Amino acid sequence: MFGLIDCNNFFVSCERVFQPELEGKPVVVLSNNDGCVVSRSNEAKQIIPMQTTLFAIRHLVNQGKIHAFSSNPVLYRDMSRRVIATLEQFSPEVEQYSIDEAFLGLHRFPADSLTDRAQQIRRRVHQWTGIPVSVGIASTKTLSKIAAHLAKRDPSLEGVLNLETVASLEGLLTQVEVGKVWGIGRNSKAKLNAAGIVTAWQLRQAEDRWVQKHLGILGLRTMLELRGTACFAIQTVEPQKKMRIVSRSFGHLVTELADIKEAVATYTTRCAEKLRLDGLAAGCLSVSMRTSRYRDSHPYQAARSAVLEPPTNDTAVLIRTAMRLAEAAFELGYEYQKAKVIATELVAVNEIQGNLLAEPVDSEQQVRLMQVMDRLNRRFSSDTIKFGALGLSPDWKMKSAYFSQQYTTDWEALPQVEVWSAPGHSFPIDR
Amino acid sequence: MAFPIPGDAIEPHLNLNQYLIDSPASTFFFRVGGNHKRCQTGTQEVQPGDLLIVNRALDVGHQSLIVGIINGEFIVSRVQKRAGKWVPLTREDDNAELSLTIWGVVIVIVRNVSAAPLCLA
Repeated sequence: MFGLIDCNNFFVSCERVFQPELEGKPVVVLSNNDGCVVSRSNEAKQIIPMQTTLFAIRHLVNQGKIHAFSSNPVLYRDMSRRVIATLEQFSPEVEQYSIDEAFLGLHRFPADSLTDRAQQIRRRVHQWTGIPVSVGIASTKTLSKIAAHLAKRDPSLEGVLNLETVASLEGLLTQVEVGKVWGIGRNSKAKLNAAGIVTAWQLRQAEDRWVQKHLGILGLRTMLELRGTACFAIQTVEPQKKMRIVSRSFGHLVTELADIKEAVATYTTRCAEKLRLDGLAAGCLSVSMRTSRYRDSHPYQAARSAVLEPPTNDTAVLIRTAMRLAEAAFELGYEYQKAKVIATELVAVNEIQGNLLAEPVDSEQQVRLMQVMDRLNRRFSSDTIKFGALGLSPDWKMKSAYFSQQYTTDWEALPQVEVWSAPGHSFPIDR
Repeated sequence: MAFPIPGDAIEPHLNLNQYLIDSPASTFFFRVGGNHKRCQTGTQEVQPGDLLIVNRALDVGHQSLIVGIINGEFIVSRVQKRAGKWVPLTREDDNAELSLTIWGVVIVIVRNVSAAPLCLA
């Protein structure tokens, strides 16, 4: 059995954990650069559709009728990690599917206890992290996604739908549009609709050979999953895929920032190549440097990390980030011996999807450029083509006019709490 | 900002996080606001500028020190149960009609008792 845990209005929920005054009010979170609405509180859902531009709702924001926040990916990732860590107490099989969704293997639990177990998961995640979640339970991943989707929308279900306990699967799957089924993309949906298949139930009842012919083997598996035959297992990340490191000792001790940056740019280029070779993108990049362990009487080492949202393997983006990190870590007056570039939070490129925060992940043009670079560099000597690392003038300052704080990762941005004193009595507290 | 560097020899050291935080997933930090002049509030258990380590996983008990929400604002107080509801523990009985939502239980107070500022790097 599988569970799909889906965080409700995740970005908005993250903001609310640390801003209790937003409870019960219409709240939205905007995409990068404050482009459009990507997360809405239930109250905001009554007023505006998803993807509304900030421009269209600016008057409501200015009048205080909607509370808008710029995207705060560092906060969301930290909260996401906490949710996953909480889930790991329930099952060793946790597959983080996106920043706000995870599949859970529930094979260890007796079938008749699963609904109770799901309620327990839901309560625990909410108590520990403050994030409300919905849980869908079913015999396949595809069905569990549908269950979670329905659990979220029907308040009478109290956040949990166990498909095994549903009397009429037909009645339920007939309500689900086929394009909403996990794995059915826009093209498949068009083909299905053209053939008169509009609901998930109709896809379930379709003919095997027709589905395989028109949607391929993946489409066939999706159909089998709708019938309750599990074709997709929980995928836990293989350990060796968790990071890519490029590190080297310098030929001689280095003291200048410019030299360190050149080295770091080279390592980053290598690192990006490794990522692309494996079809991975990095969600986090770290740069570290240190003095010699033996020679230097004043040892120094420092490391800086940055979140990459969306995850990327684009050399240009990685180098820009690495340069910034190298500058932050560098301290004048030391003789450096070694630098290191580490890419972590790796995700398969084809799995970066549906993250509404993102501008288009890596534009196709950019991807092709990288492929050409890699091919030339493999064919001729390395670095036949490379980036003029120091010549790139990055435009770091993104628009984020409604930025909340990094409540969980920045000492200067912790949520503030006041000592309680009964009104009109005892210690006055300055505000 | 520092993170463990994989592959490097790991030098043993005492880690306060490890000592203080049993459940990282449910543990959060808060800063106590208000007037920083200690002389005014020096006898209080929780003082302006204190760092509070709060664990949401713990159950509230009688006289627990908690971070809670009153009127949409974070407050820190010890609590008691009155008519089945948690209310701030104060000398007065005028808290009965207050709506207090518990956010988490304070497990540690970190306070700088020197004149020098703490290093926050």
